[in-house]
Amino acid sequence: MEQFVQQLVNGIMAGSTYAVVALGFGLVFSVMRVVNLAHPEIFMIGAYVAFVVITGLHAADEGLGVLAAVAVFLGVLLVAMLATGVAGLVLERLVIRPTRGTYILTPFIATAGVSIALQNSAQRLFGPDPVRVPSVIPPYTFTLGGVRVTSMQLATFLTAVAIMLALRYYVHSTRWGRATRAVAEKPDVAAACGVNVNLVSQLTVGIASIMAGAAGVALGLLYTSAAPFMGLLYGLKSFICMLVAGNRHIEAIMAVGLLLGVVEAMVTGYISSNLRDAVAFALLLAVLFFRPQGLFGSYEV
Amino acid sequence: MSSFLLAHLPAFWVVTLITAGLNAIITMGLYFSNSAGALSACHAALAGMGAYVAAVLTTNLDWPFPVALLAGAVVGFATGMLLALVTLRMNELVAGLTTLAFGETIVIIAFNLDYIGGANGFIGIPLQTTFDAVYPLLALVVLAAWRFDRSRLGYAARACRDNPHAAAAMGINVPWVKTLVFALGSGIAGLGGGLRAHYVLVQNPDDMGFFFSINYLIFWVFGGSHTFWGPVFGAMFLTILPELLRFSLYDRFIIYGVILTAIVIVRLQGVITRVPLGCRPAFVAWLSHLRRPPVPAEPG
Amino acid sequence: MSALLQVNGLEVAYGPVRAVRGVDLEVHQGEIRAILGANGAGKSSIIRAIMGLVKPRGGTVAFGGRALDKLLPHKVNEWGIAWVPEGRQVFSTLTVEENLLMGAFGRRNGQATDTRQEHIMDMFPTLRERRTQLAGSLSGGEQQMLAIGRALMSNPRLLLMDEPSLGLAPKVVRSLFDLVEEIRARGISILMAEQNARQALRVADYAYLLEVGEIRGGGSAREMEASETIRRVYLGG
Repeated sequence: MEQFVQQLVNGIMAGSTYAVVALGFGLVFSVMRVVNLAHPEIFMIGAYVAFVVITGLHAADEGLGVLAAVAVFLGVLLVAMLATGVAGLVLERLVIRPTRGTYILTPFIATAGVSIALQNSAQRLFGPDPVRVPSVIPPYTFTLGGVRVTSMQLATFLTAVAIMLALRYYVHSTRWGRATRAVAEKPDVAAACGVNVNLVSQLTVGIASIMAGAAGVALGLLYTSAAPFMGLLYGLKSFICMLVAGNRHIEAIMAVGLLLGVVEAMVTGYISSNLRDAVAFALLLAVLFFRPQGLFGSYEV
Repeated sequence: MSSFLLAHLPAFWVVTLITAGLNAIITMGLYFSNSAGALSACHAALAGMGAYVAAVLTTNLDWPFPVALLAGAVVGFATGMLLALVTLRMNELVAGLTTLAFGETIVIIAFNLDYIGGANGFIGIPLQTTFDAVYPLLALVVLAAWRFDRSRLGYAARACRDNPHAAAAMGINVPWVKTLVFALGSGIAGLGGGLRAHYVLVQNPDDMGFFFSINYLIFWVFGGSHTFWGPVFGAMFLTILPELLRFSLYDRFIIYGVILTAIVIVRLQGVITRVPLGCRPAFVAWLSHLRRPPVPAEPG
Repeated sequence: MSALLQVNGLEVAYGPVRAVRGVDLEVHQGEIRAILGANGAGKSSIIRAIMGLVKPRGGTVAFGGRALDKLLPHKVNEWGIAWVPEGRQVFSTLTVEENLLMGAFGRRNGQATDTRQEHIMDMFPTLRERRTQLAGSLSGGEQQMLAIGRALMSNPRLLLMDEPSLGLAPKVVRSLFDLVEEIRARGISILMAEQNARQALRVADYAYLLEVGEIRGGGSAREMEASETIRRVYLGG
């Protein structure tokens, strides 16, 4: 029983990052009908920014008090989010805007080109091997009723939750969030209501990129590494979360992300860690076979 | 023929040409698979399956090379048929994603099967593929595609792609056509995969993943997905291009990525939905314009 | 007096298909004008071109004397034109209230928007009743009211209505056209595309007949009602 709860907790912690990256995919896809293959690379940029900032500032060389550690963590998050936000805006203007609205494969391939360029740029700049990202969070382990949670897991989880709550607030309770939902459903009608669809497009990609950047930092610190191809597998799984959940409700994507994390943890703990990566695909096949529009429904493509 | 080339070209270019030819064969498979409107996102996995089968047969069981290749093609064909049947009733996008998931699942299975080498891949494959094997086969495949284009099956497939309801109303057995062409394309992929395995001499699970399937999709769309020779052009151009940019290992892929993105964007300006994409030189586009019957200027 | 909306030589084409060919029309301040024609005649294309949703291949569109043809839809809305699309097209995943708020998106003034919203809900009490319901759960007639209410939220000078009576029950259609007259009484000019010639001619001041992308006739509502062609083809003798 204890192991079950432990795996459950581990799973939720890991799943929260899947959810954040998946949300970014889902946001861009449902609003603009574009599959942004460069999204996982933006996630990767986040992790590398953390690497550069932390090693550059020698921030983790001596142990830091809790307050200072949190401050540094937040600072790194901010810088990474700024960097990836800008990257996302540039991507939107140069690559996504000219190619959206046409055949679905076109932005797909265009962003694939960007992703190839980014992956190899990272290799060029930092080498093909993973680099060590020193964790600024002092490594405590909290024990609650026999369940162990590390401070880094907690930081990751809290960051993810904060982001998801912020996104939810934006989408449901703000003017532009409302406009975003309208554009996702009926872009022409939204435009005729006074919504500058190009601006919504920029906002959406920007927000998705900021989220990916934050997730990249969190994950980079959690596993203390950043690698040029870290986006690939992570991105694929997050993409699957988006597909399984359907792109109609962002809460669905959050839930599926967590679900995936939990199921992976269970499989790793109880069956075999080799099969961990298979879980996502098995889930996808199962869901798509019975409910092609995703568990919670999608907009028409 | 290859001796002639070997004498006149640096070995490096021979390698590149053979690789380009192999990619072209596999990409031609996509031409068939996708001709009825499907989107095969597991093409690399299908090629890989054919590769593993052919490799095991020649290496472990001493089968003759051509027969092993054929076996690989048959495995590809059968798997493609199965996939097509499973995805028949799904909409395009979901079907494509299902193939994606299938491909990844195959990769994972391959990772875990020790008989075929597991994570380390299957090694020790005999070198059987030469220039003389690749290009004639490629020519054969292109010829088949040309005949396919003009055959009833080809027209039926295009009808299914453009308007499945109208196609059914015209008496075309849409499920049968879709399944058949998908299987054909997958068979060609299996064939190409087997050829490749006997050239590279190693077959890894990684080579079957999403990344490589996307590569083939890119070759297919880039070269012009609606003409029978487009995929060949796409595959060869995009295989040779990185070799032309041989500064350092990473730089050339950076430039490759940028060029790919740029060309897709530039070619796309002013083009509306569902028009054949690709980078055909202007005079070639003009030529094919002559072949097609003129579009009526006003609606009836 | 120059027209509020002036369309000259409008050409709209989709690839090789010319949907709108050299159309001239105008709407004066305070008028209701109708474009009559069968399915596929090109009525929607004209409306969409005016709204900026499709780029015309030729011709000009002027609103209040200023050229409209290069503008994006949100700018057209800003200038005072609102659109009630064909088939209602409410945002089904948004609530009734959110739909109305979307209508006023271009107008950033919070206070005026609230007043306007109250105003619209006075006009359509059903909408007030259902304000927190998802728009997708409304009936066809209710959705039409919502679509019109949404368009009115931006305080337009010109309302473009695309086949408002399509798919509605006869009783609802009558009250719909009564509503159209009410809207005009509030000073809003209307250009509507309609297949239901009888009802359209009841409220319109002037009507155009569109066939295969070309204007084949036009005149005051009385003239059109009396014309042989219209009577035979559209009004059933």
